[in-house]
Amino acid sequence: MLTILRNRFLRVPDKLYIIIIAVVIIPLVIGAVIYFSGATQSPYKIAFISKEDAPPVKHELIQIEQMNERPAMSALVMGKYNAIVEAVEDQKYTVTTYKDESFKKTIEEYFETGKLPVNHTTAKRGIGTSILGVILLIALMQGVALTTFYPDDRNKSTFKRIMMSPLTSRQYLVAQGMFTFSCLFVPTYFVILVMKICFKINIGFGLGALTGLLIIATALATAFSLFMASVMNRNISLATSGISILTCLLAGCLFNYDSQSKWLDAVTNILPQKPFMTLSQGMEGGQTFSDFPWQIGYIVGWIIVLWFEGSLITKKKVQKGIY
Amino acid sequence: MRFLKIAAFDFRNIIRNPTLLFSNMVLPLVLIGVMGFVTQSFFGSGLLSSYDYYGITMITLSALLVIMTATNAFMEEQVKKANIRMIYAPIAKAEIYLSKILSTFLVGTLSFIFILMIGQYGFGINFGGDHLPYIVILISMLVLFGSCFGTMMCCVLGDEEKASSISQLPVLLFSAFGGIFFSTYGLGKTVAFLSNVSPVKWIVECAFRIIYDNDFTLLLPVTLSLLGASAVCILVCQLTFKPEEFTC
Amino acid sequence: MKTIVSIRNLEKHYGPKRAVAGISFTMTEGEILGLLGPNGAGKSTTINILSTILSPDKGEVEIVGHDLRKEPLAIKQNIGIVPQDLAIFEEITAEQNVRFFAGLYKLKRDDLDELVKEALELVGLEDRKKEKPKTFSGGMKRRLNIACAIAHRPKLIIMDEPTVGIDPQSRNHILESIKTLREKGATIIYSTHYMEEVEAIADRIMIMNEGVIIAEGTKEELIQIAGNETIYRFELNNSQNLDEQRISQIPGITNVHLAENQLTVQSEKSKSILHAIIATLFDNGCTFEKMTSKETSLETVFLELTGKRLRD
Repeated sequence: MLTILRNRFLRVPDKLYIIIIAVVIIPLVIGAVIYFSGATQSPYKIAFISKEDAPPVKHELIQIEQMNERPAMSALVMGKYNAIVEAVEDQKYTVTTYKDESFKKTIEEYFETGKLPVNHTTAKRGIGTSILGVILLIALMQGVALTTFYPDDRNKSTFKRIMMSPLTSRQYLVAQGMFTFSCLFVPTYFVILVMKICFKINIGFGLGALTGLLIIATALATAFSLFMASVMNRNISLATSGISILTCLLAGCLFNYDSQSKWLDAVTNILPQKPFMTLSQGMEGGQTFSDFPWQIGYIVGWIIVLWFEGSLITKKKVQKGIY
Repeated sequence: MRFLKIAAFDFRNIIRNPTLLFSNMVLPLVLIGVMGFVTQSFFGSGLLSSYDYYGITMITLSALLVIMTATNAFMEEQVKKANIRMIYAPIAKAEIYLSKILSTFLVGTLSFIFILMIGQYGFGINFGGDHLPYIVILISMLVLFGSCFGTMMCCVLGDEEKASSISQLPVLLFSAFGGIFFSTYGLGKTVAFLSNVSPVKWIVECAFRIIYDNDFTLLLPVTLSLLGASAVCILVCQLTFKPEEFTC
Repeated sequence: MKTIVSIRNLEKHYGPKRAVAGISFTMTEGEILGLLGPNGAGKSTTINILSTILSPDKGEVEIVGHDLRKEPLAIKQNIGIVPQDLAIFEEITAEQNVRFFAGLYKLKRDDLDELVKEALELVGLEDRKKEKPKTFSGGMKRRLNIACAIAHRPKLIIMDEPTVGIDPQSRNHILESIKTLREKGATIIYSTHYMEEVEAIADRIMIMNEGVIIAEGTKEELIQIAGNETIYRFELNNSQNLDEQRISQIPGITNVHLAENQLTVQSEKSKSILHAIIATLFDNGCTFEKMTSKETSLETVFLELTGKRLRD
């Protein structure tokens, strides 16, 4: 197995994109997420249409631009302004916005009373959880690219040759998994450590919790990519990216959303990403791993199932002489 | 005639590949559906729904991802050798890559016309109503650029895997800064600058202006720039495509 | 002599098709068995079963004293396969390739260096070991393909068309290395489409067709099966006075045929009777422009047995 692992690393220099993923994409994305999440909550931009009146109110969270004419609707769509406010009569304003009703109410109330309602911000997700959500998505998407040696070996019939040696297909997959795992885990962990220790950026987790959560995320991505690489023969990365993006969106890895459909809830509750998000949210809130035995058990269950299915399929294919 | 034959052959190859067909015709719809659904609660009722917003942005993203179809049609392991083999036939090397561009462009444009129609008339997404033809023109120019860019990456890198994984980077970056996933206003000066540099932003803005303001000022410059960029890609293809390097 | 391979009633089906239909054979230590057969004869299936990656439907297989079903790992440890495809990594050096494949077998670390060196020397790639196969010629890649299979000193080496599409020099080198391997005690199964290779190195030849062994033996024995004979053809200038009877009376002649000045005479191979035929022709007042003779070869045997040319 060590031989296989060493073989993977020897072949890395020829696979430029593996290096790109590990050294460029992962750090870049993590950096970007931290940057975006770390920026203080940006003020709402309001276009205030009025010929003479100065804006009646002032607040650090609300930036008001006074103008004579209504801005283009597309500026509103693109988010240049969050709302357009027009004075109808004294102390009465109409608010045009594409945002949800509660936001509209908030702005209306603000202009009428000069104060923001108390519960004007929805509970925001912690920065650490946001970062881990994105990392999970990236890991799931890029895991397959880091598993590329396996389908590569099959195409070049070196896999068949390896199967003729005393090495079993399971051992081969374990070695491949170790490679994928380390290529995902090491750069991610490294970047976050640098951010945390050198730049003193608040990641939201302690080191121990962070290590544990990252191990879970990368292990899941590794099992998933091994599974996909075992099941599919062509267009593996395309299919994997598609599945990863969709499931991560639905599981709320990128942003929280309130689902209004029980049916959809039932579907998304099956996904392993969901308990992962719950877990990291809780950990960021100060709880420990022992508070989430079910969530952890469920994710581990997924890892085991994906892993066994993948290795079973490979074993079957080898026995049938497909490779 | 001969060139059209090659292009027709490539066209058939693409539409016979289920994955490519899926990623061009079904995936954009699924993306719109999922993004729209997930972000539904952030949008108010009436004026603009999450589907209207992500309808345009996800189609823009998918149209850019035609790059993958182009690299796949040109240099996927199973078709690469046969494609390169054409150099033995008495045709110009330009015909080889131009036929890939043309066939990818056709497949892409047809599928996006289909998606836009379905979206507007089937699901009631606002793709401009009577202005839909202009959106079609805009998107098809983007598809043309994607086809040229993907083919160019193949010519330069000579390998599908490399070409598609490296192209993904700028696509994702431009999309993120172009406001495909979330609005980039109010994220500071750096982001504002990057956003203005991103061609994706201008395409999206052009589409939104047409749809919501009947404003066509951006249409001409955007389409012309896309055509220009495509021409540059083709020029690079001509300069870097050396079929003899693939024979062994 | 120690028995290395012992196969009894081996069968393998793909759906209704019988790829291997109950074959049996044994091999003793140090033997080179040439495996011949047209495409689809069942050679590759047999090889895949022997190499343990395909499980047989029926029959018993024992390799180096281990049962295929019970101890596949012990068998794997003792065999080396040279696959038909170039199963090597293009992106790492020749030496790293051999080291990798040898490393898959249970070997002592100290021995590994020595074994890798030995294998590379045997195929003549020692001086290019630091280069990547990307830069190699077809013949060199084939040789590396072999080196990867033999570094762990397997007792049984199975070669599946190891010389496909290479230059004569590389081929000779490969055939020489195979002889060297045998001298070192390896037992070799050599599957090929090239008759001359089998003639050059095999101790015993086995011809397969449609899943069964249709002939087996040394080269001489096989030629005997097909009727060991010599055929002479004469292009006569005139044949009106020729009495075919007189020629067929020559002892050792088995068949005589005359048509439009073309005389064909079949004879037992061992008898030297050409002078008698020519003397008889002159006696009858016949002169000739051209004469050819042809002896039964493996190619003829193969053609006769399978009805197919070998390279079809």
